[in-house]
Amino acid sequence: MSVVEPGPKSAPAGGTRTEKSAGGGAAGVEIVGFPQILFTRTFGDPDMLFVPLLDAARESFNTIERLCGHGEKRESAVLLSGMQLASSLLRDSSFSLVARGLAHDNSYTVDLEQGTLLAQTRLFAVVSRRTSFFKVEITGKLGENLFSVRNPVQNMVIMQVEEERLRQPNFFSATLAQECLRTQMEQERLSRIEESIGAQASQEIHLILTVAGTRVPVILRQSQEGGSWEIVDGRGQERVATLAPEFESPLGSVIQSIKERFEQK
Amino acid sequence: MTKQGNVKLPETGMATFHESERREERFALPFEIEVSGINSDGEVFHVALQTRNVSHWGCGFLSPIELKKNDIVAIRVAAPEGPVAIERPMIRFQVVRVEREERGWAVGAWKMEADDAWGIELDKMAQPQSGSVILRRRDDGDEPDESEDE
Repeated sequence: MSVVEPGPKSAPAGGTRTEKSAGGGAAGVEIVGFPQILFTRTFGDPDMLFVPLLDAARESFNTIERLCGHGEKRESAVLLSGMQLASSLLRDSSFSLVARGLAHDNSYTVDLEQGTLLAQTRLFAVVSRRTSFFKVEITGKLGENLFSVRNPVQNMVIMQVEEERLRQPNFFSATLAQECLRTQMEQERLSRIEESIGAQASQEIHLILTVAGTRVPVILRQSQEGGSWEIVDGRGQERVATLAPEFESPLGSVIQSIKERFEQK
Repeated sequence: MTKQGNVKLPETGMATFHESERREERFALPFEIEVSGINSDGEVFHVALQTRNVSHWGCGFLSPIELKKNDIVAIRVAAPEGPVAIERPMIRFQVVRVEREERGWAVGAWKMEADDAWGIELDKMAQPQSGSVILRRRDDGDEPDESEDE
């Protein structure tokens, strides 16, 4: 099993504490409990490595249960499956072993004992003439197909992504980067919500909804008291629809209840 | 490339000494070892055999199972028989050389961990093999240049 397609020969992996990305970027792959780091100079970009590494790690993770089923001690099965994963990576000429402790552009951590994969990378995106370069962590369980994308600086989950989407070409560099930046911009916008409540709006309700795995900001806006409610896509302030009249009464009850709470406060 | 003479090894960093040189004395000591790994079919193997030679950081043995260069295997020195026998830990080795022989595959493997694999001071058990100092170099993905005299 070769994790990535054969590529150009790698430059010397060690001996220097700096690295320069070439082509698909550099990365360090840590297998928890393994004495060294597997380093690639050319296949580290998540668009190239995340899915093949996920598949290889999942195969090794499944091997643990199979070996235990054949009487192997669990500790030994974890060690052997980690060796299997490392061997499969080293079969590709772009991978080599390096010492721990070096910083890499992209870092991957496979924990076969816990059955998890963590990828740490930086994404670049341009949205509405805003350019941003930011760190994200993508983490998930090898036995499941849902991954969380976190902002490690703000310690916040940005979104949850189904594995099917992660497998789309250029998902990380294109789709994910854009969505992360949009979310970041929306959070900044919500943080300025007091300023942003329009003079033209009588009442506004801001929601964050998860739609098909993506966090979408939604605004319910009532232009004048007693008037209809508009549903607005918060990403572009685009009016989507008018709230159906039958929901206006329940919504009014919710708002009245909250008002009373504030009046009692 | 082969060099002779006593060469002192740096204790730290040898496990990741791929990028530069590895030199050390080799001893023709037949340790009984168990080699474990997962083969290309995904099946685990545990093979009991003897080393042909060992060094502090490596060993050579004849494997009845085909191994490939860069495979990782776990090697454990067989515990001596007796009531106080203590099972030695499995230590990971990287296969750096494989040659087909009539009765198997001659394998040279390099230790990946700092832990002592053999449990004894090798130079108190035997004299170094003649011409046994290994010099291994890996640059730019080139094949290692190494000497073998098993």
